[in-house]
Amino acid sequence: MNPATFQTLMLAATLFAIGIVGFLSRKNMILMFLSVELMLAAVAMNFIAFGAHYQNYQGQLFAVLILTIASCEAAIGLALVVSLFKRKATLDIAAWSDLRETDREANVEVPVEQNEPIESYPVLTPAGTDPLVNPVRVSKDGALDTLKA
Amino acid sequence: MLNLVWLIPLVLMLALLAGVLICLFRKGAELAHVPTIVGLSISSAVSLILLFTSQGGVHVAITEGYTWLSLGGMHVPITARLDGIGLIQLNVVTCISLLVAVYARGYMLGDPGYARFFAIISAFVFAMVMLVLVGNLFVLYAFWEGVGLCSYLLIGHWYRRPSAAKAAMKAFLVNRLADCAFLVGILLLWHGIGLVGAENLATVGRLDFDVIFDAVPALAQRQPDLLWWVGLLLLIGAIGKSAQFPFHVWLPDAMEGPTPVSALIHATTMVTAGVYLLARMSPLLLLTPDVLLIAGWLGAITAVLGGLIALFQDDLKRVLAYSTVSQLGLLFLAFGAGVNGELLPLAVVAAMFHLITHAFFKALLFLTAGNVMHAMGDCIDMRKFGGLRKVLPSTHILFLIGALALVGAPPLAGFWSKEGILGLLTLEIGNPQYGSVFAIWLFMGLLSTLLTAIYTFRAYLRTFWGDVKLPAQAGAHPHEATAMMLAPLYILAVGSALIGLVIASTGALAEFVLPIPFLTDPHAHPHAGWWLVIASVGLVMAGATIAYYSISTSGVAAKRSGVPARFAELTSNRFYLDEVFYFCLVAPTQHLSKMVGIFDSQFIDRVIRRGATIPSAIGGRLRTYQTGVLPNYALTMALGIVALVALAFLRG
Amino acid sequence: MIITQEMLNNLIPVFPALGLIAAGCILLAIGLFQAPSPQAANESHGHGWAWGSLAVLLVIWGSWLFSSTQVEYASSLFRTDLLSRSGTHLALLAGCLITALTINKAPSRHACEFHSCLLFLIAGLALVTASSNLTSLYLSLELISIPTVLLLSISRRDNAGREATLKYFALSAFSSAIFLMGASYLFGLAGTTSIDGLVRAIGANSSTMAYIGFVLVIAGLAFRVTAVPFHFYASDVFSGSSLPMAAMLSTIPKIAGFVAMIKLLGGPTLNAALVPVALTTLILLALATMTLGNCLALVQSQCRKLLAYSSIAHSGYIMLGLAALLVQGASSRAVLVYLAAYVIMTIGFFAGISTLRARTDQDVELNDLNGLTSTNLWLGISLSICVLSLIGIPITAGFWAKFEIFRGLLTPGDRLLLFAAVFMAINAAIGAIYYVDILIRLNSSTTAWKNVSLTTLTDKPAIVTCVFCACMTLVWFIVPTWM
Repeated sequence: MNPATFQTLMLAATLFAIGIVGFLSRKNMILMFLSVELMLAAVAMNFIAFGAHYQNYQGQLFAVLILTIASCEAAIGLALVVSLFKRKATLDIAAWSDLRETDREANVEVPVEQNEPIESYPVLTPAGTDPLVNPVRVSKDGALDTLKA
Repeated sequence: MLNLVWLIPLVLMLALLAGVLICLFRKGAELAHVPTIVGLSISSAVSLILLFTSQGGVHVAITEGYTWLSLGGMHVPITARLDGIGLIQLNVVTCISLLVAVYARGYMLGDPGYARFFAIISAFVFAMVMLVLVGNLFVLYAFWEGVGLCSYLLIGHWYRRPSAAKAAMKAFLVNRLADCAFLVGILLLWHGIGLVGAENLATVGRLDFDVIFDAVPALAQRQPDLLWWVGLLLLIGAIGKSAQFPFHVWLPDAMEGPTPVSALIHATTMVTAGVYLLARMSPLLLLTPDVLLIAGWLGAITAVLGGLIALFQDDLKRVLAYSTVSQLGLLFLAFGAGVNGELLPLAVVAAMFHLITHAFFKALLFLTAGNVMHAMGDCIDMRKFGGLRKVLPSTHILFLIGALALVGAPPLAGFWSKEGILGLLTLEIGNPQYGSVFAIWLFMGLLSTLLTAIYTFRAYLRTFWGDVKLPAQAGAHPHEATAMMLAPLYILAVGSALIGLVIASTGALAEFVLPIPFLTDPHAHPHAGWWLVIASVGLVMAGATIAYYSISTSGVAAKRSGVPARFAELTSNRFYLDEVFYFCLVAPTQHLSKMVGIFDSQFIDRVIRRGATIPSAIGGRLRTYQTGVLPNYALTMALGIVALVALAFLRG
Repeated sequence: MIITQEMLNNLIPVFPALGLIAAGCILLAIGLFQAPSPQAANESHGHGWAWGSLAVLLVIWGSWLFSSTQVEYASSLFRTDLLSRSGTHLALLAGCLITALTINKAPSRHACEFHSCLLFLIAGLALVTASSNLTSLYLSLELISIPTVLLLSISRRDNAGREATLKYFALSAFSSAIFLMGASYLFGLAGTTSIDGLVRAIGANSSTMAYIGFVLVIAGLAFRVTAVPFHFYASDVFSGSSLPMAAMLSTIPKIAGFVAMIKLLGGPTLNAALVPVALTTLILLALATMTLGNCLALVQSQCRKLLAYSSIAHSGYIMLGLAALLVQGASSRAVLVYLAAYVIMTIGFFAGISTLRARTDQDVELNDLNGLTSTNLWLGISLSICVLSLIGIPITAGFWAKFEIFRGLLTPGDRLLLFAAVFMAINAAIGAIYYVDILIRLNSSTTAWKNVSLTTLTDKPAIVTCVFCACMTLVWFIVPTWM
């Protein structure tokens, strides 16, 4: 194994470890997703390094595919974060621990700071409907309301 | 053509399915008999077709139905073995079942368990047909238990009646006892066949009848003791199902079930399964003459014992039940004659012959008894009614035909087949080794003929002659059974009258039955000597006379005294055999179970109860780790991966 | 570009998936033009799409059955072999059952999207079973997990639904990164992404990298089959998702994970040096999984959570089947049989309990099952049969499933496997405790439904699905050779 490959692998491993640690230690949802992205980037780097080592295109192909999927996941993740933020007005992951096994208090050391959820946000008119004169809003339970002007 | 045979279990299974659906839906219960009767009609038509197309020498034909299980080395195909005895038994089962089902349509009308009854009848006939057809001893055992289960369910049909529930339980337990031995025998045989070089055969395939028959000669040479045990255990299984001494105790109690059930299961089909098993396994039994000797003795004892007990029974159905026991004893007696190996083929033929005729006349007798019971409002005690020939004229004639066939009055069916068995015994009276045994057996056979005549005519006279006497339950106007119920009886009556003559005159039975491995037709048909015919006819007449005088002199309620009284007491208590059973088996078992029960409740239960709390305790502890906080979960996952990597290094 | 016969042949292994994806795309496009109207929120709307996608599934299944699947086709990414054939059947079976169960339950404003996601998911599963390359395997796995997130999110819109989606998504992304890391090391070892080449390379080499790569890949897949300690999400996500989605989560990712494991473990031959490692790993995971699943299921009072833990326990049993496969090197039959039986009985059970509630996000307590048989005979009996099957009582498919696993464990005569079999028997007994409790509840005489009108039990398709599954388990017992 030539030194360049080895170094790249080491870098990738370090990145991966940083990603894991970030995912485990961060409480901000966006940062957690970014950590996952970091892990995926490390994997892509691994694939590229090995691809270069074996002089074949399979590793690079895989890396490209990983980036594609990673961007899909990022899109979904951010959409999810937005919809979660709408509910509780916080990015703290610990705010979302209502589904659990026991009936006791939430196992969160620091109380989560929660702002008042914002009543509604403007959204785009869904495709397939005539544009409405009044803006369409999403209420708390997700139902679409047409606000009277 | 032979694959047609699979139509029989198929339609019966469909009938069973329909029955189960009717029971489940609780709808259309009044039509519950339709699927059963249609299924049975098709089955009997198919079996008759098979019987007549295969005439002129049946070869053993094996047709594979469907593979129930095929897993690696385990291969359990369901095969049908079509040979003479199988076809005969198949026809007896399907035809009698059809007639009984038609009869039951009238008899069971209005019963709350009407749909259930027909569903179980379908299940029974299915299991019985499969028992007869299958080509593998182990699969046979499965259906053997199946018919036992159906019998249990049908005896306990009126399960709210404590006596019925008890009788069902008794039948089931006594049968289990014998089946236990049967199963051990099967497993021993499986082991033995493995010893003589079939160990590479697929697990269950070792018990295919062909494999068994091929292997037994070698087994008899190398492990005669083992083979002897196998034969004995199979015999125990057979006498359990066929209610032979000392396992006969369940059969009379089984009369608690509806009368069609008594006629179908406990007189003609299921109880002959034991005889069928012996016939099926005759190539094996050929090599274990001692077992056949035991079978003969048990049969002889049962034949006489059943006759004696039947003498003083007041319950018409019980008389018939003991008569069944006694007649089945005759069948086993016939097998006893096979102790002289050359006679075994003839024994099988004679036994099958009597099996057929017995099926006809005993079904007829039971169903006419059912008519009586129907008219008398479920009363079957002969002390409470009498002189019914005026009330039930058709039933009277039918019962008379059945009774004459049973006692062996020429030229009715019973005469021919019974003479066949007794004639067989006369053949070897001069045999130096077994001659004396055969002579004793012949004497006992003749004695049972006499007893049969006495109890049959006693029952006949007490029921149908004398002054008209009706029980309270019968109501004001007891009536003859409906035409629908009588029609099958007429068919049975014709059969009872003629079938013996037909079979005996064509003489085709031997060629039909005998293509059994190692059993060759010896071409020496037993011709009952004239003296035997005269003796038995004389015995029948003597019996009738005795019966007549016992009725007319003592009357029904007359006091008996002295030795006859004590004898009557002994027989009406069935020689205290139930009590013997109780003290030898039931009571010790109960004591043992009490002791085991104490151990169970004091030790095992506690351990289990304590043990069962462990998982929930673990669960209660574990559930606190389900915190709902996502980083906790991720951390555990990461630690898990670390642990796995560490493990890989440790092991690698 | 000229389309050659060979190129078309290369598509044969994946044509069910292609059909499903095409149908899903069409449905998705239609969904764009389905105006969400305020009144649609109340009506159950969009049954038509459910029937449509069920029809598509059945047509594709039919053509898969009758196409010339006996011929083996292979391209660099996909191939047909026994595993892919039976795996595709399994995927389509699960797809049909889940679609049938959701006919009345799709979120009315997103019926098209919902069903198209389901179709994508099933296509992904079919592709997983046909993959012969790490690349295609990874993409197919993602084709399952991304629509799953969408389904979780659109089928339940309250806070619990959001939280379940979040947990599933975050942990699934995390575990797929771990899977990929392992895959990259395996690729580094073999120099090829073809699974055959990969397995061969691991066979020839037993370096540290092989161990790490192997363990990471197994760990990544263990998340999908809810093996301990990757199981935590299961009960939270189950209880925070709609009932049909819980049914989906308990089957589809599990099938995908196990099929992928079979591909990686049971390929040609694993290196003799790697077998002890893999075996110990699998058996330890399996034993921990089944014990934890059963113990936790025992203390639940809510059907959905109970099923979540019982599905963890069943995963443990299946992993033992996988371990036996490793020693025996025999066919993957036991695992597939168990999966198929599990799909039928578990979806049947979910279908049954999902009829008890008007809305799919409402909890079903165990108490709600009391006396169901006396109120609704068909439902009660079908549920009872499904439970019997989950226990593994003979007369049901579950018996053969457990039988196959035990046979696999006992045949090689390996002492470790023997020990595992004993442990599994104990676990099956623990499992029987809570299943029998359900049985008793279902058939008890005190009913929870005495004063409740059964108007909620109007979900005919779900009832039919439940009855169908129950019948299938019974038929399977009689005809065990159909697989």
